[in-house]
Amino acid sequence: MSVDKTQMADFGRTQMVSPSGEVTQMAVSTTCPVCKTVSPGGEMYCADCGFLLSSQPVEVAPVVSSVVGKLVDTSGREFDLKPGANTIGRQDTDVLVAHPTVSRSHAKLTVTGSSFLLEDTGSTNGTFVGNAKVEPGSPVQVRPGDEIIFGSVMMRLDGALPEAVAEVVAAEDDAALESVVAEILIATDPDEATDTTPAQALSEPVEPVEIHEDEPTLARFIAGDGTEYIINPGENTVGRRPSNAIAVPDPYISGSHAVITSEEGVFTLTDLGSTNGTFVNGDKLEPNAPRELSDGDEVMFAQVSLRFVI
Amino acid sequence: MDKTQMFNNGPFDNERTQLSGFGGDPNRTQMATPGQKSISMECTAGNRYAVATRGSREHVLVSIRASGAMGGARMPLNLCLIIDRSASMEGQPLEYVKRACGYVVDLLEPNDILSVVTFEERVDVLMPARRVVNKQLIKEHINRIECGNTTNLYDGIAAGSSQIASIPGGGYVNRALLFTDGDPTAGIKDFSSIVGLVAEQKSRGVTITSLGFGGEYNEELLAGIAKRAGGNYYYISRPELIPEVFRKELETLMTVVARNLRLRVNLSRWVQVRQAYGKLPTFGDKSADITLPDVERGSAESALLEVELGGRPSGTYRVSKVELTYEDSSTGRTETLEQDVVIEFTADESLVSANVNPQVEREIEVAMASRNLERTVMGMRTQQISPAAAVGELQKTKAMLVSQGKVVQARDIQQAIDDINGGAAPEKTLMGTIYNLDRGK
Repeated sequence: MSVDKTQMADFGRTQMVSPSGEVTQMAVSTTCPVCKTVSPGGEMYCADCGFLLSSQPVEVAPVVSSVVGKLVDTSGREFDLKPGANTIGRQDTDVLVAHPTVSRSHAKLTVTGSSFLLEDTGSTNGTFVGNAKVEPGSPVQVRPGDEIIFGSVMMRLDGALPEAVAEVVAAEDDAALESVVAEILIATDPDEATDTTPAQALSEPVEPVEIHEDEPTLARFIAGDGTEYIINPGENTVGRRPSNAIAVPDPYISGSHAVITSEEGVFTLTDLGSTNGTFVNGDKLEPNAPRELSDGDEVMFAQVSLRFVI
Repeated sequence: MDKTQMFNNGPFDNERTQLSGFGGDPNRTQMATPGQKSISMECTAGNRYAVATRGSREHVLVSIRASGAMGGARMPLNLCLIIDRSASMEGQPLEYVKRACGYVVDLLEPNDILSVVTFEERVDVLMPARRVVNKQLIKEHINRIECGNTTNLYDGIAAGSSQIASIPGGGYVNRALLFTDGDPTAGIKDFSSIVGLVAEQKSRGVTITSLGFGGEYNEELLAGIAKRAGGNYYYISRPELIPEVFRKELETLMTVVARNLRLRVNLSRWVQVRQAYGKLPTFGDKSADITLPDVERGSAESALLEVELGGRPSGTYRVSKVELTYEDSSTGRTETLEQDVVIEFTADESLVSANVNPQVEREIEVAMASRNLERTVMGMRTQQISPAAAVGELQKTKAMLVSQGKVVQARDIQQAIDDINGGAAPEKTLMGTIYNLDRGK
């Protein structure tokens, strides 16, 4: 019994204008009494929250949001995190990830007041924070902005940076915080970054993290379209698979294509026997023969050209 | 239970979220019945109520039904036969395939388009896409097919798809029939590349039906191809059945009333889709898209989604606006159907417990049965469960399906149980059962 829009029913809806066939129906925009979103005239339901606009909310008591953070995958799909334990896996879990490389019961992310604790629950393909494997039974602390990989599915942890954690991070590891901030800046839209997350709204106000524009930037690859790939200290794998540190989703790039190593300011690039080759300024690299990079080098992975910038 | 009974067009039904109040409001001018559409859609929430201010999970069932009436003239086909001629096809199998292709040629009409591609290590376009004018000549070409060596499935699919794509414009029901008896052994062989190719072709309007023959092919791959390509999946156990299955598929194809179905589930801000059982949704910003298989005359299919609802104050809310776009096979026009899924949030928990929708509940049971079946098949494939344990699991699943009126699938499972007891492998049959259950057949 599907119907045309024109035939959509009046589910107890108050007619706004006398139902005379002679009168052109006026389009009056309506403000939703629940979420205050303005919907265009003629809409039956709020465009944002879906509230039936012709009805009155029985109570406007605020709903206590229990969302304290989010996991966001590379497509932008969001998974809410609740206080306490959030199970992650392919079947019957709180965060349900239907991907063949994700185990039925893969991991657990426990949110308590000020911290996020990640534990692998015996997954087949492992859980990683950046390049570090999370060993089953040994929970690790994760922070908003961290990239977590379940099997081959990468997700970013989004949420308030709780005050207590921010202080610890600042005291412990300035560099780590910088890289977290850098990742947040790359990964999120500037408008979104300033949004107050539900958790922030509920908890004590959080001191904004200051970002100095003159801070030294990390070495990176820049694509023609402006996409930047940050090169972190140590080994950075390059390839088509999302599990790579630098994942470039181009079909001509091999799953595991190359590796770039950053050690004390020296950057070396090694082709890992890719199908379509790695080139530096037009020269094809022999597989497994490292090549040092300099600022401004033109690097090609198969058909994808990137500029190396220090 | 007969499928047609599931759709209730009667007056108000308390069990069901009433989305459209037909014949309700005397103040409203009733619209005339719109032009008859070839398919209809109904979206039903698992409960018309939810507890206010509390997060919860709910299901939404999208049922699609095609009328059984004859439309106008059928749309011409743009058909490609992609035939495996690897060494293992030698003898009887290849002879039956030739005969099957001959039947297909006989069933086609002069305004239909046919192409024939064969593959082994190499891919040959035996007949480029053209009208079926000289049937005898086409059959002579087909009769000249000889066996080669290995199986280059990927390039076979690519070549067949490009034959279909070489015919410009709409106006045709596009379909490739992929026939194979083995695992890919040449060219690109990995599962994800092959199904990726198939999904890409589907997005360009090429639907692929996969026909697996004998005991050697990879049922997971062929069912995966059919699933992503929106076509059918057949398991052909014996060579003499090949012509019959080709004929069946072609007849099905000639009754396709809607193709390129795409479901877009638009979500209100506080709603997330957790999963769509047996489907592969792509997620956008506050929406999920699901590709559905072509629909034949008089048939029905469904999609069952599990959604996560955030807490809401009391009141009536639209959870989702569901839009279905499809191409009508008799007119070639793209049509859209849409429907709202509405839930009332209430403080009265007794209303919630008293209004569980039995139809949606049944479909959830069926989805669970399908998942059980999938687990059993995977367990058997990886030899993690013994044949005896598999039989036990299958008996349970069969009982679930019988209680939900899925007689055909229950019979398939009994066949699989008999196969196991007789020492044969039932995975190929069961893969088809899972596929059909997930389609809502």
